[in-house]
Amino acid sequence: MLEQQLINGLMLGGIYVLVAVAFTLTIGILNFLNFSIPGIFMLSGVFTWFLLKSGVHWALALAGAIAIGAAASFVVERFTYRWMRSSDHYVPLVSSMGFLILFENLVLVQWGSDLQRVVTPFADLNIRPGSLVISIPQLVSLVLAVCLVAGLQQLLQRTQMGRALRAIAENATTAEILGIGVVSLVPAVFVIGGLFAALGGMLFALNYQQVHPFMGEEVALKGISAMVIGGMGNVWGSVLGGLLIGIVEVLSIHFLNADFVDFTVYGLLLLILFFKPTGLLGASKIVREKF
Amino acid sequence: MADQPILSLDCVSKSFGGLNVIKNLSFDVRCGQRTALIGPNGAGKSTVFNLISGVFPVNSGRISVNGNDITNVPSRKRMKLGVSRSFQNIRLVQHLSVLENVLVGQTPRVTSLGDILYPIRMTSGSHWQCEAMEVLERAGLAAFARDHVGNLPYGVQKQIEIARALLGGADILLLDEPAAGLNPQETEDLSTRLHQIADSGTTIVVVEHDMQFVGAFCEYVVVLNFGEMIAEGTPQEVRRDPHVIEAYLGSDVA
Amino acid sequence: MSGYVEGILVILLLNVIFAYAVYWPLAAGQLNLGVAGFVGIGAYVSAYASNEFGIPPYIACVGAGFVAFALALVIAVPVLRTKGIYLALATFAFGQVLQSLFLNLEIVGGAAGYPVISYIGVGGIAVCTAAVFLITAFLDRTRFGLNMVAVHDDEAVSDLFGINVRAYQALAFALGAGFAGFGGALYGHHFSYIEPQNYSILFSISIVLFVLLGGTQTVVGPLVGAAFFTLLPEVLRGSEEWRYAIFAVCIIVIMIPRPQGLITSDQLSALRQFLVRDRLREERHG
Repeated sequence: MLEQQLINGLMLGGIYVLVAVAFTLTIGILNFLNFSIPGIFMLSGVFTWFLLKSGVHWALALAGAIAIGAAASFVVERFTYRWMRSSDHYVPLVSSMGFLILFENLVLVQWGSDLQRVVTPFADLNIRPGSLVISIPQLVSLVLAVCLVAGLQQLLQRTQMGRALRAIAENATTAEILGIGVVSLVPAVFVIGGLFAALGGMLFALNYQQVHPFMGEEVALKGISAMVIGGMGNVWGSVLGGLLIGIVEVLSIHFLNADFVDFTVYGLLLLILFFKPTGLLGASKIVREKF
Repeated sequence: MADQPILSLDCVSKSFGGLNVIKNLSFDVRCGQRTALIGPNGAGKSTVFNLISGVFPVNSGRISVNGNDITNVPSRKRMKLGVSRSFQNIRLVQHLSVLENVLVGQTPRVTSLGDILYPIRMTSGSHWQCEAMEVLERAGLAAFARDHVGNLPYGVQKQIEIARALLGGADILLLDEPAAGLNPQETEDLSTRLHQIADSGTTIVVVEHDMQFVGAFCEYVVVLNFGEMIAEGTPQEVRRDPHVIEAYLGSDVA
Repeated sequence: MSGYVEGILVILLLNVIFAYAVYWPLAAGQLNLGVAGFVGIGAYVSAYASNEFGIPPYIACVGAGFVAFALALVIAVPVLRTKGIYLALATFAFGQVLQSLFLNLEIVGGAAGYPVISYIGVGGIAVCTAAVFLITAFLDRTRFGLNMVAVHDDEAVSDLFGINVRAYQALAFALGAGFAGFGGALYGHHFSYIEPQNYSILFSISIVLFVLLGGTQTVVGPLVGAAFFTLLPEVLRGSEEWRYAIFAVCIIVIMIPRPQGLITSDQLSALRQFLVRDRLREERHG
């Protein structure tokens, strides 16, 4: 039934929103397509499962999972972007992919490649308006995602740190000359991005109740698409793009079949890139076209 | 025919986002005449070069070379029609050797597929390489032929740019501040070299701030201010021109 | 040759072909993340041609390479309107669309895969790989290669010097796609089965990874990268479950001191000068 599908699509889109924001931050500010994000998403999801399974109180487990994701993102910065700032734009991509492989394989070594079932304390919390079923954790995730994006936008627009970050986005070298602490702010970008990705991973684990070492990949690809469709570097664009992709995905399943999901989603991405590369909301000013 | 202008700008205008950078500019460069385009900073000198070489399209007016209207010719094809240039900031291909950079300069004359697919970086006997080496030798650069350009001194890189621009086979050489950043000895060498080039039949147009160099080298000077021509003539004439003095020194002096 | 060694050799040879498929667009400054799609095109076209029309396998493979080349030339028109990361993402999207087509194309088996009847052995693949390498190395030494470097470094100046920048970019993209298709065709004919699940973004990414690791400034770089990428996990086979983790650490550690890849053009020209100087010294003394 279509209404239910639309609701499911929006919920799924909420996850994409978080991942898209994580991508758009490093692209918008640092011009760096950070491929470790799916790894961080997955780490957080897997740790959500592990900590809950180990009997840790759920609040601690969720906080722990997010902290691990953010910490991993901090480590990634130390070994990638820091060293390659002046190279071609695709160079740091390689080492960030190195981290994706590393994270996936560390989890693989520890827990194997099987799908693990996440036992959550909130599995059966639903509201049922009419014949629809809305899962409360999913609804909370969606609201949380949108609120966090709004908060991030405020951070970028109104705070001292946000101004400094926008200056770096404009021109990192000039920012450095002007006395902005680029070296100390860049890790902050990674940690914030890591938080978003980790939150996405955690919510995915709770809502879909399954995790495995490669769970980050497909979600990340959708997240990247969401980012571009909405407008690269534009955080509200990521929200629009994420929700749109979630809906397109469930509608393709509803009207065509599951095999056509990639065709419609990436076909849409392709069309946007060809005809409106700045995305639906337009790339915000924090994105430079410096190639 | 010597009197027919080799390069002619006719009422050329250009604006960027509402700002009129070049206004109704007309001037001629006669064949073989060593010409300078001078003017205070921001007068639009480099923009004129960019319009002639086709980096930007003009908003109105006409540019012709050897009597051919090139106003709507794409930049890629203008060198074939006779306009070659160097750049204010050195724009050599950093990952290539000196000789290879100069070989790239020959591209406008390379037309056959055989020449494009000839393994020119593997052999050393082709007429293309001989010609390139000859130009390098004449410029005193033969010793650097195999070096990567990135590692060479600034003055040498500027000379390589000129050598590269020459090899396109153009009749007009537009040099954007060739003497900037050179020491007096290098400037003198440059002057000698440019005289050689001019004597062999290439018309040289320079944008230059070094007035001593302009006075010594150029026969004809076009003075721009705020995108308009305010004077033209021999270096001696423009030096006495009140508009020029005003533009450079301010109105109270005039 | 033992089965194990042969198996690795085939993968290495095919990886070298795929490496040059990614190398050419990179030489013109384009990151092609959709190369797996072109590999798939080559595999399916050649398999269909040899299965259905009895076309000899080598002709089918070369022909499939040309089909991929032609398709890339067509798609290059809209793709090259984008630049930088947008271009990389456009190729990514295109690759994903192609893969989902493979998965849904019932005429070639859909998601179940497609068997290939005729077979190409390791010897044949070795010859084909050598050919791809030689073509690349040769083109790099011509004006085509020279102009490609110029286009990569400075599009505006290349244009002023009469280089058709768009044409070079399109050719680099299509040449890479042609090699990808050719390699994919050989892959299908060697392993006798085409699984559409293989032609995913992960496949593209891993090729891009080893080419960037090897370095894109020289023709040798991709070769070194492909060898490193194929052989290191095998060397690490002793530590079975840890090997990909160790491998990932190697990538991260190598990229820190060598962000331009293992092999750079400065390095090669220094080596060349070193050799030439030695020879000169010998001549002088001898």
